[in-house]
Amino acid sequence: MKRKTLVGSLLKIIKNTFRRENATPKKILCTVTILVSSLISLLGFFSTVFSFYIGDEPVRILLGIVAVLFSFLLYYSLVKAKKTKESIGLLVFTVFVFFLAYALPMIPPKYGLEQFQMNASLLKFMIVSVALVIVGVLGASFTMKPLYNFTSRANQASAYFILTFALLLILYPLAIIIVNISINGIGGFSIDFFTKDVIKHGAEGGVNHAIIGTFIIIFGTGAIALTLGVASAVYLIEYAKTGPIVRIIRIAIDILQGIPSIVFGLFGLAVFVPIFGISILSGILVMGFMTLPIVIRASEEALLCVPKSVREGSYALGATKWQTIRRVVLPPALPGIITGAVLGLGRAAGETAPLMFTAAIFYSKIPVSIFDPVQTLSYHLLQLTRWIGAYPVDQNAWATALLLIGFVLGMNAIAIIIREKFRVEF
Amino acid sequence: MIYIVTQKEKKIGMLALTLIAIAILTTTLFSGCTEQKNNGTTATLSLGGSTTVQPIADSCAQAFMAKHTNITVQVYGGGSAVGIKGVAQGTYDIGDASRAAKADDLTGIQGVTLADLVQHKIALDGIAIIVSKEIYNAGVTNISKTQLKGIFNRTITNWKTLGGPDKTIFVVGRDSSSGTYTSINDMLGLNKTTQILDVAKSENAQVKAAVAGQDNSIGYVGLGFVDTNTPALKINGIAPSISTVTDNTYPLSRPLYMYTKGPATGVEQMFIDFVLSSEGQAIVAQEEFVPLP
Amino acid sequence: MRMLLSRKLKEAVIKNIFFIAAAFSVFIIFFIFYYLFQQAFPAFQNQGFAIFGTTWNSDTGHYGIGAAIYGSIIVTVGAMIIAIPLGLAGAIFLSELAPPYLRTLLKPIIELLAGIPSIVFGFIGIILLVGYLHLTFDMLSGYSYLAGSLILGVMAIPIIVSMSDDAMKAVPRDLKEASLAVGATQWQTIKKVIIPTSISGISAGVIMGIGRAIGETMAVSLVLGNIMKIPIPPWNIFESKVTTVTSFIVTEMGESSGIQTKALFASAVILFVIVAVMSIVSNILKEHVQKKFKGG
Repeated sequence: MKRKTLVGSLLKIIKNTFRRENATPKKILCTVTILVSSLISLLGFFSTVFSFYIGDEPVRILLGIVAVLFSFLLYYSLVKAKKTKESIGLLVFTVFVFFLAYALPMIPPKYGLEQFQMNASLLKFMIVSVALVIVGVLGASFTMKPLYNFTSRANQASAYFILTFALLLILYPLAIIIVNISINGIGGFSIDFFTKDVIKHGAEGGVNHAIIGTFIIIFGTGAIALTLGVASAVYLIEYAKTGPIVRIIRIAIDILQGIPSIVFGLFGLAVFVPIFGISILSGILVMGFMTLPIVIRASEEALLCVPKSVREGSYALGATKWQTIRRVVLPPALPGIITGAVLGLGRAAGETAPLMFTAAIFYSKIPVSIFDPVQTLSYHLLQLTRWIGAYPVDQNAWATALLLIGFVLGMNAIAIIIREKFRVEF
Repeated sequence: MIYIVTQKEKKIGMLALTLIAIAILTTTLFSGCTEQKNNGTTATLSLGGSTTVQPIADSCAQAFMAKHTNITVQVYGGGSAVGIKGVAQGTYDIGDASRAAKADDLTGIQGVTLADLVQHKIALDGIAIIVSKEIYNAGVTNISKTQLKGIFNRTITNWKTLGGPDKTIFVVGRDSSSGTYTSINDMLGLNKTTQILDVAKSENAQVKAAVAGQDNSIGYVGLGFVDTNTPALKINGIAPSISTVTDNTYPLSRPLYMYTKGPATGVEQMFIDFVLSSEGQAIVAQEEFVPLP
Repeated sequence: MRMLLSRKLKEAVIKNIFFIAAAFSVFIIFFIFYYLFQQAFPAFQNQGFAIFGTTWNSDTGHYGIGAAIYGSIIVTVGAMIIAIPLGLAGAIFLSELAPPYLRTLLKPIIELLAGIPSIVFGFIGIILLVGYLHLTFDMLSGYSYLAGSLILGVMAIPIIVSMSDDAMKAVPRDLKEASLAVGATQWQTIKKVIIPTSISGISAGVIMGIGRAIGETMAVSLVLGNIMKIPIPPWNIFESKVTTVTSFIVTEMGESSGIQTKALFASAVILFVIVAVMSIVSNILKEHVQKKFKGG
């Protein structure tokens, strides 16, 4: 099985290069160019992230090296391989890099955008770093051409290089978020954090009531979403015949899934709050409706996994439809349904907008009835975020964020465990 | 494999369901019981409105609830306009406001006029003009009322005009339901069109957060929100403090109010009395506002 | 005979109970639209088409949310500029390039990105992104369209990756193998066979991503300035005096009243309609995919 990762290809190239008979000057040159280009793009990337400027001279030297390397490549492809037409791109690029090596360090420290009526500027380090990244990525891609003798393999290798780079770009924000929250948040975890309620605008004390409130909301949402959701799925899979009504129901479920959470919040504000006040009841009604489509989807899939033969066997034994559903179809589908529900509830745990207007409050006693408002982790984090800089809530904010992510992850993990452990194979 | 529920599993399932049902029933019933146990009455008091009054209301609420365990006090924000409307409509029992109620606060509300709202002065405040500490440390520590007006109506746009660094002034303010927003307009002779903001926040704490988070900002907050991260400017040479607000030498002083619909009764009366008591006024001072003289 | 009848009755009743449960979703949609519209109607009546205008001034009674709609569009476009190329690239990598071990490693990681609550994105936006932008671009303030687009883009990526990956994995093997058999490289196969075949699934993913970006509230409201104005020039992504429909609803809701509140409900109705339409379109595209492969 051919490995097509960047690392894989690089290793292969390097391995090949060092095999005696394959160690042509061209291959060594290309390998070196690719390595240098990759390093330059990584360097550029990190200087964007950590906001430093590597200096005029280093920039000139690095770009100069690339330009020189590409000149050699140009020599090879024009003179030795005589591929004049295809080399035009290489030529343009080489000239471009020479130009950058000369011109980039001469850019003024700040390029103001006021002339475009924008109150911002492009700082030198940013321009240079981005240029380095572009040169690096393009350089490595362009090198593939002579390396693979200008065949379509070359285009493939170029494309794959860029794709790998794109993947790194995707993973990068995730890494930032997880690393920062973990490092900063863990310091805020203490016994007090978990057992005490809000003190002093959240700067001290903990999230005890918020944790309880989040659990309450999750259970309430689950109760509503599971009841309605499983019943709907049962109808759609077991009873429904294809027709306009079923189509309308499915479309409605899809629309329900797409509605932004804040629209649900306003709906709750308009309908439930005047009746029940800002309360757990208003909150779980709204959240239940919001989670409903996810539960329906998961239940449908779980029910579909039960093969037709099982149902038919049941009918053959004289059972009614309801008996079949109750005893034969639902039980094995239950793990899948619960998995889907837990995943949906995990998302619900992180939601803020629907609860803001219907159930959440910042200071409260532990609710004693479903007509009381609750604290939730998400709303707590929202308020803390709004007060960063106003009160010393930073540590608690990081800790709450860590707790929230941990909570959602935990629920996802539980869902996966349920799915794996209780899966019924047919 | 056909999954048929065995007798044993059925029994376990029913047992589990019954237990859960009992748990739910007992918790709901029990919670009703605890309410009854406490002197047979529970009361809820809701306050809403000004975010300037909010920290005072919050801390007083916590102290009050510690003394009266059968009363629950809930404090909301939203701005003075929301508080005044809310108390008129009955959404809140007490409406917090950092300015006096006006007749057009009540437009659209049937049956309630300005005369129906009873005003209770609970503290004094000086609107502090805070700046980013970088600006303060660069020497901008005093400003005249005219210059202040110029900043808000954008006749002055750069800190260097005031002796500070060459940076554009980033103006943070409140939205139009805020009493502090309206007070600034009244005090500086501006209105909704001439007070031009870069960001409009919905509470004092967020204004403070915005000013603290940048190096070129100015904003207005209640006195209790000033600290070394967001130092306050002197206005015409007078710094905002408890003494300058009490003797009214600070130009941007104002009273803070709690409104009730009709005279305060029952729990409302108890709470307002608490706020006006020495304990309540000590809390006012603790929150760094100005107790009534 | 009696037993049979009562049993049939029981079955029929149960069937109807389930039907009502399923139909409830339809009712909910109608309820939501009805009650929201009921709240919003006075605003529509009062403002007429001016509600789409750009003047928002409570003194003069103008409540035009045009600036917010413009903001939502700009921020979403920016988010898509980031999310579509990266998302598509990620999906191609995941479905075609990655060896099995890498795929089983990466897919949950990308799901992790999808599972991070939006308030956490907003928190990170304020505490990390805004300050960084303020310094890096020498902006007046880090709160800007740029910050909003960056965050929304990152949030939309996993959706596009996920759905495009599913779509590309669903392309029948024989199509891929036929292409390779005639001598095309894998990349050429991807370019000319796999992507065109899965384009409906990819588009459905993109539309879902757009839906998420438009509907996202918490993450974007915290990193904008929340002033109802269209910046001058209109494409100024560094401008902080901006807002989107969702941000504006969240920030104003606590403290508005009268027609202003109704206008906020009106924004919610508009949001609802836009998302509903997009959902239906996405659905049609997905059905198209089903049909395509059922026939092949």
